Amino acid sequence: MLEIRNLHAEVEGKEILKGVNLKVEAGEIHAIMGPNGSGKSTLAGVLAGRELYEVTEGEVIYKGQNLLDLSPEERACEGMFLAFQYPVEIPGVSNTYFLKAALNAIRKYHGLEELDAVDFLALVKEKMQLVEMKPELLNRPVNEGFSGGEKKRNEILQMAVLNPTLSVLDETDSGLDIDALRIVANGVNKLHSPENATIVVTHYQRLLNYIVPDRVHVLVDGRIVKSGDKDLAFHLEEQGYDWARDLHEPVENES
Amino acid sequence: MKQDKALQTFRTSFEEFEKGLNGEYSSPVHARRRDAMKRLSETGFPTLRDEEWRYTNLAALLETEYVRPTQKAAVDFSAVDTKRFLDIDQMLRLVFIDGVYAPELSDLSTASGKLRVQDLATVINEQPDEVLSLTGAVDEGAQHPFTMLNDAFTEQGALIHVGQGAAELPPVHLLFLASGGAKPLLITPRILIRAEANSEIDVIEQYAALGDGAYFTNAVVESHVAENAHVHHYKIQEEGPAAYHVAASYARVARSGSYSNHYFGFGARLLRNNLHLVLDDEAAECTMNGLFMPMAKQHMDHHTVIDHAKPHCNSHELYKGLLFDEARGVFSGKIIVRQDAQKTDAKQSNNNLLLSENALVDTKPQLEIWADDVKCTHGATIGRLDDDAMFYLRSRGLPKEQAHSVLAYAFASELVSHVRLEPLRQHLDDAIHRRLERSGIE
Repeated sequence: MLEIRNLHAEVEGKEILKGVNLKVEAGEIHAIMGPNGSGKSTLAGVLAGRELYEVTEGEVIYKGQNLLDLSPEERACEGMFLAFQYPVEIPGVSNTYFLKAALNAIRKYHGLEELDAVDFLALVKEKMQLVEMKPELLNRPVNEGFSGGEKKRNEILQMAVLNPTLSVLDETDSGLDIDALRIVANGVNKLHSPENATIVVTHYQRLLNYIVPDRVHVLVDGRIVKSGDKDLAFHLEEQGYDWARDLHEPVENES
Repeated sequence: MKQDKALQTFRTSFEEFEKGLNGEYSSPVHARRRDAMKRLSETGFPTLRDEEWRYTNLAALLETEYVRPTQKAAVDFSAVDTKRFLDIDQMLRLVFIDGVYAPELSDLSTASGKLRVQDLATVINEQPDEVLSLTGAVDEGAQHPFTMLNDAFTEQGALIHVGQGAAELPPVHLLFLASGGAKPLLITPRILIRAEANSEIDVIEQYAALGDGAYFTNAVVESHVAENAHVHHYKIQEEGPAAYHVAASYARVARSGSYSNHYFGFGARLLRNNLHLVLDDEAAECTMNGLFMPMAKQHMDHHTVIDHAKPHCNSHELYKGLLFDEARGVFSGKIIVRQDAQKTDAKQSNNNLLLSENALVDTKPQLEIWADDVKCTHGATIGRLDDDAMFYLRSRGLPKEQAHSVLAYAFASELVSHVRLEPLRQHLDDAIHRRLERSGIE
């Protein structure tokens, strides 16, 4: 589904990603772990098409096409979804309006009829149960005045409504208490299927107790230095990232 | 030179106007007009050197030679469906064609003893004293050259008298339609609003054009808000693309009364809108909300003055500009707090969004505070669409143009949300969307 080959990217002239290789197949959950500043969020941003990041080398093949040639909206329409680390507040745009506009933009892209208000509301109500979200948040402006947990649940609600094939969760666990974490993780697990894939970007192993990955990759200084199964995450938790920093030579991703 | 020529043209028009007056010539209303014409001849029109006019060049406006509209409109408007401009159930409607009252297009059938709405020419004829008692609501108006011009040509317009305790009344819609024909017309509506104690009324003042030609609307609205009365005044400016529009609204608010002014500006080549409100007794309140969306080379200038004359009064002001292309906007908001006006709470914000590299806006808050125990806040911002919000919307599948439009609409819609008449909100929503479509960002 996704293959990242020797990806280099920089922000304002500073190289952040220094040759990332990663392969993700349908039905898989991958975790990317790493210390602060290792390039985790940059990788997520590059995949979603953030203009801030400039790709200087390498390629990303997604469902057989070059992902880097697509605009952010084309990526979304092709089934890419980024759950933001810091979901953006948009005053004046209601959550419902935003969700409906997004869903219909994607449907239109695929030549499908736009959903009318009634069908849309039925869909959203069903998906909201998944993240145990309060109904009144639907009519509020997008993320405005939402608590940290509500913002993250709102991201997962969008994911549920838009039904992506590849989801990238950028530090979705940050700022969540244990109950919110469980709800969010539960939502992600329920949405997981043999047809889609998920990349979980996180600093802590904690989230991986709830979302169990097939593969774990350690990103240090812009490179994946180690890959393994879920036990690698426990190992990291015990040893700390200093242990990973000592792995000088990047290893090939084996999956 | 341009000034002298413009003044001469207006004087000539005035003389012609006088010739057609017959018996009214000797009336006190006309004495007031003559006095205004005399004062205007002495003061002349402002220039860019005048502090209050430094951002707005009047040369093109003053170069144009205007003629007064004749009683018979040059265009046959009988086929015009006035409901297409705004349609609210039960509302009273006064329609003016090229500044002249058109009874056949108007509908006053829902008027009552508690709500009297009349065309001004009739009132001048029948109750001149009433007209005189309601003109000059705010003293400073007498020094404003364009108010003098309107004073000199006061004839057409409307009088709205809301009786004591009258509430839950149908809204009053004043629709000024310009033909925008070959000859540039001078259109000088005067609107007088008197809301007696404990009454409440909604007044919608709307300007629209059917043609693209040049004309000059020079309007003045005066509101007298009595104790515990509430006046909601909406102005929808959808003038033609070659129109000049210079207007002033004055209001004086008594104890526990409130006046709100909601301005929505879309049209005109050059606009200057003045607001001057006086909170004249304790616990009076006012709201000044404005949205302006100039595009192409439109110039829109807004000057507001709120005069806190007495203690314990509140004022809220929110003006937003959404500027496209090479448009130019001005916001100048003055808050005066008199020595006596302790416990004043005044809040002013002006937020501007520039949607083009070549759009320009000047914003100027001015505070004149003479009392010591007051709360006055003001803030002004000029910015562009937020990159983070743009990316967020696009990352969810919205095309760039749609994301632009959604954010621009969200910025503008806050002003619409303060309008309490649902059909009017719908009209304004549509107008904003049409504007965004035309700008090409949608």
